[in-house]
Amino acid sequence: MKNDTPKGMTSFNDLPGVDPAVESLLGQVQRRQVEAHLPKIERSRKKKERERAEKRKPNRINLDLPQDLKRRLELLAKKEGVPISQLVAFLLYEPIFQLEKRTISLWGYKTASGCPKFECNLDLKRRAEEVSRKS
Amino acid sequence: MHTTITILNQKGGVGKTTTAVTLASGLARIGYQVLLIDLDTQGNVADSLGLPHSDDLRRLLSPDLRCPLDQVITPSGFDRLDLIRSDKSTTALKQTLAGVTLREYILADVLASAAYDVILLDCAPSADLLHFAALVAADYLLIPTRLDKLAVNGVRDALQTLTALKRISRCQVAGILPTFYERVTLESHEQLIHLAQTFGRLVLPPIPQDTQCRVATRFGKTLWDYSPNAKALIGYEHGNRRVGGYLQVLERVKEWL
Repeated sequence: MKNDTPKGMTSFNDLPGVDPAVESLLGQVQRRQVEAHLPKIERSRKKKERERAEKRKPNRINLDLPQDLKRRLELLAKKEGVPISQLVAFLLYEPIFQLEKRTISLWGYKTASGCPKFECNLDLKRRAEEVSRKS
Repeated sequence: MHTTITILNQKGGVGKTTTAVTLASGLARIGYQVLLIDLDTQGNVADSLGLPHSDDLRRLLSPDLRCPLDQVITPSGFDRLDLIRSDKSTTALKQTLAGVTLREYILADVLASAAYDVILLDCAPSADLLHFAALVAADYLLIPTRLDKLAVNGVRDALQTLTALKRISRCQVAGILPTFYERVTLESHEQLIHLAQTFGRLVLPPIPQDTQCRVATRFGKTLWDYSPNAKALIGYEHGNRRVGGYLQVLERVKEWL
């Protein structure tokens, strides 16, 4: 049977149960190693893909949205026939301007955070209820 | 009732103090009352937080002084985080304690009534008396290790010490923390696989190698304050997630409390 593992590298397929973070890091390294052993053409294609992704990075942001909001955004984007990221950007201009000019505030929505990186969390449930009541 | 976590590896330079300071300050920031005790004669916990060294530990444990806990505790300057500092006098303390009976229980006894949620014990890189006392006082053992052969041997030694103290210690191995992880080097990868194969779920998310840790120490600040977006805190980018880093480790530690 052919051994697909790149030379000099231990496969981690038969590991006992491990922490998901450890598993994902090991997988990432293994993928890079596999890539290093691809034919030259394939390697350069992958490299270009990575460079293209790298160029888009400054425009990118990863957000955790409430499921309901995500679903509604997806539906709206589909209905309007526009990319979801452009729709989100379109919708954000006004509240961001208002927040910068202090015509709206986060006061009343802030709660203590369980994460040392942030001082507070925002009570999104309350926000959703208030918006649906107003409209 | 507090939870005591000992941070220990007999190998030096594996990130014990950085781990102790970062986890202690992280836990304090999210609302836990934390006491961090430096058991190392080098007194690096104080350095890491921009404080002078002191013989707090000797005054607390020395049989002829035995100062009460509240008289040796120093506020760290951060909310909810207190310290018991150490310095060269800890060497003399160890010599003094060598003749004391039931010396392995000395830390457990003085900490029994401490009003904290979490107590973190930062051990010295040597198998000495305070090392044993820390294992007897602890509920959990966290073993940071560099991803190289010698440091991984240190993990084995730490586990052997714990086994030797089984009769008098209720301490459980909570995790093995790979530090100085470099995802671009094959050796880091191989050693991480080796750890994961041997210890499975005990292996915690690795801490990326990050110069910001050293810089933060130079300024006497915690990583949370000096560089909240440091790789060592937030881990590596992986698709649309982040993996590894103290932030993820803190989530695991919260499960033990």
